[in-house]
Amino acid sequence: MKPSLNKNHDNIEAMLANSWEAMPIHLEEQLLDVPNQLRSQQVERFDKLAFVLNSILAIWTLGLIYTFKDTIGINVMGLTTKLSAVGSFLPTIISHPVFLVLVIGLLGFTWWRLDMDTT
Amino acid sequence: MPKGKQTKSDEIFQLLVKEHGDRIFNLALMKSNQITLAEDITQETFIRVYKGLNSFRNEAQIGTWIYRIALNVCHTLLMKESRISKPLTAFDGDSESHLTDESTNVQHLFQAESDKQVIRSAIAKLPSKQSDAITLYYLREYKYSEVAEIMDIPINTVKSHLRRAKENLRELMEEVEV
Repeated sequence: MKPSLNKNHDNIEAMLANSWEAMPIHLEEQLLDVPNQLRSQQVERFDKLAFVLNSILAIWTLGLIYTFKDTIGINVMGLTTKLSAVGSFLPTIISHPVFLVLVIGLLGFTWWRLDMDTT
Repeated sequence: MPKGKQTKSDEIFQLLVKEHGDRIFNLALMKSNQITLAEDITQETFIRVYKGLNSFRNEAQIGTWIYRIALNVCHTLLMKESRISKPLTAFDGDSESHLTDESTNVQHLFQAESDKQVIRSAIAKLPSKQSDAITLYYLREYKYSEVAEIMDIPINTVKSHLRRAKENLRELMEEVEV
């Protein structure tokens, strides 16, 4: 938007007003696209960071499994035995009112968070 | 048209581009006297504006805030360019379409372009504070108070910068005419 010229302008102010240039159309388009550009840059940066961190985590996990494979084997066997015992109580736990309240509460919280992101 | 999901910040940002884009571009053009550099300054300014938009609360002062950012970006990029002012590249679109008109129109057009070039190169030669003051004084519709607020200096200092800027501009332009 071009500034309006002062009534009592001098020749310098008149020259300033005459030097006005409208912004090039391609620049305006680039400016309007700035939010999308910044968002895609952030996603790219995050993707690279996530890839590196996940790779480190995967290698570390493999190392841990390889080092403690015997201990893990014993624990897994013990856990399987315990789980089979707990499994018989699962229907009772799921049908409990406290469990139902917890599930509804978590669903509500997730919906609220998603709604916050879109506004 | 922007792609993807639009947020409230995006909508405000679009309004700011529409409202202040032209003026920021002209501020950059007057300060740098180079179209490509002016475009870079305008783009960098609006990138910083978008990044800072979420944390900016005082909406009444948003104009002042944008011009402050623009001035900072101008100073930074001009410093990088070491104030080497290359000749202004002419706008291609409208200017060329008029070249087929009558010769008087062509002369008039060249005269107008030449006048623009003269004032911009003169402003680019002014000391930084003076060029800031004179450019903002024009772009903020001759309001001393707004220029003072943007430059963060007293109104009387703005007036003295403006007086000296006008004197220097007259001298510089007389040199060009001679």
